[in-house]
Amino acid sequence: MLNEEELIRYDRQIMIFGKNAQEKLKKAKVAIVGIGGLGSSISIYLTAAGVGHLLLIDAEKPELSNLNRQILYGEEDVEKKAKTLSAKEKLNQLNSEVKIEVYSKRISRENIEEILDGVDIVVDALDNFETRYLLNEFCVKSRIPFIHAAVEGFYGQIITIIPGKTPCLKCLFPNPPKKIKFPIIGVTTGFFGVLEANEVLKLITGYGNNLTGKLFIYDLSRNEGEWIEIKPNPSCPVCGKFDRF
Amino acid sequence: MEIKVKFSTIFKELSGIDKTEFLFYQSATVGDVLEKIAEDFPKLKKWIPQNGQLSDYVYVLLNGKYGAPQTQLKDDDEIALFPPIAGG
Repeated sequence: MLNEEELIRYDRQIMIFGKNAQEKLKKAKVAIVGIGGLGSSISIYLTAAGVGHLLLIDAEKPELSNLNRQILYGEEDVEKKAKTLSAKEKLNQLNSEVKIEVYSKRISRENIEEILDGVDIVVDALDNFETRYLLNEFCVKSRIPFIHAAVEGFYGQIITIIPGKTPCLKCLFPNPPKKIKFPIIGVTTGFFGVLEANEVLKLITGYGNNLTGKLFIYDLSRNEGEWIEIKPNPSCPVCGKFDRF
Repeated sequence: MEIKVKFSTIFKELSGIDKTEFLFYQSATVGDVLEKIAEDFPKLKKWIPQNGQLSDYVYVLLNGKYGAPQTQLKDDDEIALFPPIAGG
């Protein structure tokens, strides 16, 4: 049940999707993996919207070169605490009712099941495909929705994966991109982080449509976007062996 | 047969167009189309895989599925090219 304060706090969005949907947000547990550029805007908007339980996962500390895009951190955070801890403090200043759990080590094949136990949605805010593939495998096996985004320069891509219904990340990208120091500007991570948060809110509340089965690519330097319809790969090594419904 | 090609982001910028069509012989493969793209759009050459090899610099989707260079094409197939990106 929502209390009086929550009814006031979320009044403007309850006008969109109703009290029941707001209660669903309150009961949800969402994991954000990577609290960098994407993770900053995802976590801010999910906290503001009243998602009840967030799990922040990141093993790094903020660096000076992160501050052009990782808007959760300031100069006082550089090289101090883990990103997850600084993020938790900032997010709880925004909304103290949101339960924020942190995991400040690397996620691996050995610990993933324990860390992500009980999570309703996993949001990819990583900067490497090695860990993305790990999350994808876990989500497909556990039938948990998985939201993927990646960014570079002024452009990025996003897709929502519903195991059993849509193609998985490995269907779409069977080979990882080369690891490079990528150029990036804060407006791109901000934009795609907001789109990822939006996918989470729609999945939980049931409002609107999700980016399922289509990859959305947007170039902020030219204000040009497009959708590419994606189909499952029946011989995908990750999701090919699971039934679709 | 006619093959449609869509270019996204950096590929759109380098080619100067967002889509094109090619006429190909019946047994053409994804790799053949990629070689033709590299020939017709010199600025894309360094991004495009040559001699049937995969490239680190381009993702190829054929009708919404991963398109391997050796995959044989049919009339009206659509190839989409976009850059592999990993940042967060």
